[in-house]
Amino acid sequence: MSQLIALIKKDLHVTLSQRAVWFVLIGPGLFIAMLGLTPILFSNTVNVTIYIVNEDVGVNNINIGTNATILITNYFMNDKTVTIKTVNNISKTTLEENIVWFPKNFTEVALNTSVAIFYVRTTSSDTYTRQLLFALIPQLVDQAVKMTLLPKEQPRAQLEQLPVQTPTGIKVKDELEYERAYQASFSIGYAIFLLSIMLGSVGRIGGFTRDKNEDVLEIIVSMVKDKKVLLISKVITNLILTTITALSYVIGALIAVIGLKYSEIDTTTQGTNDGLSTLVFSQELLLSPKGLVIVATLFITTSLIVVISLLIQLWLPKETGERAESLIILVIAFFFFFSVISDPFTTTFILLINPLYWPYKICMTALFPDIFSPWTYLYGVLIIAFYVVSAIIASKLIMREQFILH
Amino acid sequence: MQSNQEFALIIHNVHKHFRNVQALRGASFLVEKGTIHALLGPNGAGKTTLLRIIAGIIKPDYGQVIAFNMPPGSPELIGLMGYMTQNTVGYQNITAWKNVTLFAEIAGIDKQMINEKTEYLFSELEIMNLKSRKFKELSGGEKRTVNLIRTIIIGDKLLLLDEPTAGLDLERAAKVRKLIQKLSKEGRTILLSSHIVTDLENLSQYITILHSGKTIFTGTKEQAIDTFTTDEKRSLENALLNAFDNNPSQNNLNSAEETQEGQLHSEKTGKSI
Ligand SMILES: Nc1ncnc2c1ncn2[C@@H]1O[C@H](COP(=O)(O)OP(=O)(O)O)[C@@H](O)[C@H]1O
Ligand SMILES: [Mg+2]
Repeated sequence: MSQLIALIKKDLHVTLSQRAVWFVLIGPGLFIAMLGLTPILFSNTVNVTIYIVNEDVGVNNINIGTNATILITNYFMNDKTVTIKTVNNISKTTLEENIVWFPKNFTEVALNTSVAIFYVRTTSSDTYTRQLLFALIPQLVDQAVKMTLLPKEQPRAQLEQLPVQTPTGIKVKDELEYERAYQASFSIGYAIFLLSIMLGSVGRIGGFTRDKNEDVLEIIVSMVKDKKVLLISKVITNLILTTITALSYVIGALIAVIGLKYSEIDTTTQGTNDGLSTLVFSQELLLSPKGLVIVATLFITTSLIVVISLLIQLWLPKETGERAESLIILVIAFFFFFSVISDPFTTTFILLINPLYWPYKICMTALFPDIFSPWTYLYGVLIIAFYVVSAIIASKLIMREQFILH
Repeated sequence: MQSNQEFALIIHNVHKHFRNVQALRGASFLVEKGTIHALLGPNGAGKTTLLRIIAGIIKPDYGQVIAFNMPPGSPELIGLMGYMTQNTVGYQNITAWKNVTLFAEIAGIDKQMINEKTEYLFSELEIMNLKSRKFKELSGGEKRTVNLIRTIIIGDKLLLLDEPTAGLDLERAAKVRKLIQKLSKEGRTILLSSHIVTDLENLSQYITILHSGKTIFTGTKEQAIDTFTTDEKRSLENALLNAFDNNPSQNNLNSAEETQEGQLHSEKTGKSI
C-alpha cells in the first residue's frame, strides 16, 4: 500500500513538473469555455449604429419607407448592440456611417414596377454588421413592403387564411425532445472526441512510455514487490490526471453556459444556436441534475482511453508504442465523432464496436429516456467486460521481459 | 545448494538467452559479504544481463542466483539491494534531489532517513550545489553521481553497480572509489562491473572474469595475475588481456551446448560451490 502511494506520488510529481502537461490537462476546459463565450466576446466588439434615411414621400397615404423604418426600429428596440437612428435627408449622414436609404420615390417605384429599390451603404468589414445590413434588414424591408401592399392588393379572405401559428399537439412535444437529443448529441459527441484526443497524450506523459523513455523502468521494476502494484499505480495516476481534464472540461462548459446566461445576450439575434457553439452543452443539460450524467459519462470515457493507451504501452516496444498509441486513439476518436455527426442515433453494429460509443449511448439514454430503448443500458455490461478483460491482458503483458527491456 | 552465511551472493551456472543470442552460458561465482567484487569482461560478455538477473528484473533460463539466502525479486530484498544501471537514468524534468528521494520512497525507506542520507551523500560527493537543479541541466558525470547516490540509499546491504565510474572525470572517479571503499568498510557488499583497470587495482579484492557469458576466472587479484601472466609481465592489465585473448568470443547459440554443464573454474580459485 505504501509502495503504491509512493509510486503514484512519484508519477504525479514527475508528470506535473512538465509545463506542457498543464496545457493538456486544462486546455480542453479553456477551449470549450472560449468557444461557448464567443457570442459575448463577439457582441462586445460590435456596437453597430445604423442610420435609416427615410426620404420617401409616399403615394396617397401609402408610405412603405415609413413603415419599414418603424418595423426596423421596433425590431432592434431591445437589442443593446444595435442602435437605430432615423434622419430625413441623406445629406445628414457621412460616408463612414452605415446607412439604409429609402429614396423619395421608394413607394412610387414599388407600386409602378413591383420592384422596391432602396440603398445600403457600409464601410464596415465586420461580418455581423454586414449580415445585419445585407440580410436581416432587407428581410425586414421586404416584410414592410408586403405588410403595406398586401391588404390593398389581395382580397381580404385570402389574408385571413395566412397561417399564423403551427397547430399544437402531442406530436410537437416529441419532436421537440427529438430536436433536443439531436442538439445534445453534438455537444456530448464533441466532448468525448476532444477529451479522447487530448488524453492520448496524457497517457504518454503519465504512463509507461515516459518511464521507458527516461530509462527508469528497470530501476522501478527492481524495487516493486509485485509488478501488479506498478500497473495499478499507473492506472490510478492516469485516472487522477484524466479526471482533472474531464472536470476542467465540464467547468469550462459551465463557465460558458453561466456566462452566457448572465450576459443577457439575445442569442436569437446573434445566431448563436448554430455553428461552433452547439458544441457547448446547453443550459438545460448542464445546469440541471442531468449535468451529473454528463460528468459521469466523461469520466467513463476518459477511463476507457486510459485503459486503451496503457494496454498499447504494455504491448508494444516504446518507439512503436508511442506512435501507435496516438494513432489508434486518433482513429477511434475520429471514427466516433464523424459517425455521431452523420447519425447521432445510429444502431449500426459495426460502428458500435468502437468503445467510445458505449458511454455515449448510455448517456443519451439517461438524458432522453423517451427516445432510446432501455436495452441501451446493456452497453454498461460491455464497459465492465472491457475493464475486466483489459485487466487480465495487462497483468499478463506486464510480466513479459520485453516490456521492461524494450 | 549451499546457503552459506558468509556469502552475499551465490551465482551458480546461470544461463540466459535473448531470441538468438545466448547472453549467459554458465556464469558462476560467489560474492563474500562486505567485499568489493569486480565483474570483468569484454563488451557483450553478459555483465549487464547478469546484474539484471541479480536485481530481479529478468529471470534466468537455467541456474541459481541467491542473494542473502533469498531468490532475486523477493520483497525482503527491497531496500537492501540497490542496482545502478549502465545507462545514466532519471526523470529529466525534476530536480536532482527528487530523483533520489522519490525513488527511495518507493523502496519503502523512512522519509527522514532518506533526507539525512541524501544530504550526507550530496555533500560527500560535493554536489550539494546541484540539489535543486533539474536533472536535465546536469552534466553526464553529475547525473551519474546522482544515480550512484540513489543506488547507495536504496541498497542498504548490497550494491550492484554497472560501470559506476564510466564517464566520470578523474577527480570525481577517485571520490567515488573512495566512497565505495568506505561503504565496503562499513559492511556493505559491492558487486561492480568495470572496464577500468584502476577501479580493479585500487578497489576490488575479488575479480570474476566473464567471457561469452561464462565465468573463465573467479578469485583474488593476485590469483588472476598468477593464472594469466608469466613472471616477466606480472600486472593485472596483462592478466586481463591474456585472459580475453585466450578465450575468443563465441557468442552465439551454436556453441552453447558445450557449456551447458556450466562448470565453475574452481580449480583455479580454490573456492567451490
Ligand atoms: N534485451 C536484449 N535483447 C537481445 N539481446 C540482448 C539484450 N540484452 C543483452 N543482449 C545481448 O546479450 C549479450 C550480453 O549483453 P550484456 O549483458 O549487455 O553484455 P555486457 O554488459 O557485458 O556488455 C550481448 O550479445 C547482447 O547483445
Ligand atoms: Mg553492460
